[in-house]
Amino acid sequence: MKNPMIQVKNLIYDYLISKNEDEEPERHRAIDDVTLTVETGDFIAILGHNGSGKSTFAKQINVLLKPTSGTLIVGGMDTADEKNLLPIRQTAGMVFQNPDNQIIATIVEEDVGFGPENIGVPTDEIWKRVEKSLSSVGMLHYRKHSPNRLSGGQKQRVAIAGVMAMKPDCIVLDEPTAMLDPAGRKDVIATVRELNEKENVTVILITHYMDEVVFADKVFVMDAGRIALQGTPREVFSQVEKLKEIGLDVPQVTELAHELKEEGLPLPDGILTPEEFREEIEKLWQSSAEMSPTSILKEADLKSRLSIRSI
Amino acid sequence: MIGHTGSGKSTLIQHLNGLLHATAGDILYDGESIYAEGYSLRKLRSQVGLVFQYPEHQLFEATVLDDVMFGPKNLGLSVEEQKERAITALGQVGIEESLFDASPFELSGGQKRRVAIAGVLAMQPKVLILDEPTAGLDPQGKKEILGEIAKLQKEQQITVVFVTHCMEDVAEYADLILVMNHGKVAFYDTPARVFAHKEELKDLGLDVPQVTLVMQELHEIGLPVSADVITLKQAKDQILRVFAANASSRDEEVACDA
Repeated sequence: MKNPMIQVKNLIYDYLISKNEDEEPERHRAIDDVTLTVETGDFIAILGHNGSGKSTFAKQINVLLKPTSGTLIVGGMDTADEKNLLPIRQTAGMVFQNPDNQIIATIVEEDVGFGPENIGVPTDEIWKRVEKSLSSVGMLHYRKHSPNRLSGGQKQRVAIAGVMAMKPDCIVLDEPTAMLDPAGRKDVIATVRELNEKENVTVILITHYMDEVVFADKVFVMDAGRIALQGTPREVFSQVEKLKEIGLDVPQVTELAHELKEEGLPLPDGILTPEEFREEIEKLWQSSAEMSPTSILKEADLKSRLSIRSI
Repeated sequence: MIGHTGSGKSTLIQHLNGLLHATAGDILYDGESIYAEGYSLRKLRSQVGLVFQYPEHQLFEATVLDDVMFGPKNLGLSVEEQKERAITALGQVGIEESLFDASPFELSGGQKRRVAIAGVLAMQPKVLILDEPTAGLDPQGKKEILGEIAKLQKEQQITVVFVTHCMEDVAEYADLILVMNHGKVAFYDTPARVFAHKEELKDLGLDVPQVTLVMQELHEIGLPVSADVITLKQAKDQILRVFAANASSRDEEVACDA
């Protein structure tokens, strides 16, 4: 049995805000008693509105922050232990929101090679890694380009390649698509999914976009520093009302299916994609067209549940 | 206004208040060329307000109120008037009075964004242009800001141009969509008409709303729904209508058989 990639137990994190020098700093609880496990090779999504604690949590995985109390084990290493700092950062790489803040070199391949070079990887090996990482994000063709001339989505893929060149077991992406256009978003998400499927990299994706998480193995929804909901995307998105209460959206087709169901159409819970929606409606349509007079009772029932308004 | 990154959206809107001067061609505001000799760009900019991307990066005063008063101050208004306008503008974007004396840097991302928008509203523009006003905000913050802008448009009759990547927002709020591609106008029409060009939009790196996509597909496989649905409410009504009609038409058939 393989070990879990990340184990979190009763994690609490308090920010200290000092307004005045002579006053006792104020405590603000950003993460409030979170316990969860991420299995190796999983694709995990974390949702939550601004200020829900999700980015603070991401920073804990990369040891940019340490727990106030509780424990966080990444790849078998406790983040509270100083000597684990570098090994953990090599195990769990991080990609941030703004592509422009993450690229430092003037040529794409040099940017990707920066990480391995920093940890003393031999030159031959660096070039191998650069080539492999760039091809895994579909950017090998741009290796000699200047990062400045790339689109936002391409820059994010270069940033991901930079993390991949460190051969991490896990990548944490903190809203990697927030600043991208639809095409850029799709490319980045497709790249991340491929790394997860082909290279077996554990992925932790933090996002506002619900349509990006429908492929995740597991979704955690954070609210006020706690895990408010967790489960498969289908389980989580079945709870449309609860998600709205928290201030989150569900994919548009999920919401449409939910509203139709409320009106009496017999649709399953948690429809996630346009394809699923179309299939379910099509099925319903065919069965309603083929219905024989003997099933009229059922039909009448459907009709009465369909609150038919005068149209 | 939609279009992929680099399609020319931001460049175009910077022409609209004279920040960039066209290499060729003309821009008329209220029937007058803004490039005419003696035309006051200062006056144009007080009427055509431009909110840049991530406008909160431009907050700089010590308090929220001071920051919003900065625009009116530059118009040469009295302190009283500056204050009055700032308070009105902050009210329009839903910033509570308790925050007026706070430092802009103590606010949340969504609040900062709203204060920055209030700074432009305090100029009382007739046209409000916003470059991706909801980028980086969560769904709740996004809905609130767009709701407030839509309210301004309706109640104050302000003309609004907003750049976005979110097709659902376009469908919900816009009367017309302008699609930019490689520096040219690819489409300029109602959302329903533009979203009918699903394949062309895809080629431009753009989407249609999820509900438009599924309704077009249902239409294609023969369901009697129209293909030009753009909002969730329209989709819901159409689907319910179709199933209700189906159920009642079969009732009639059965009645005849009997």
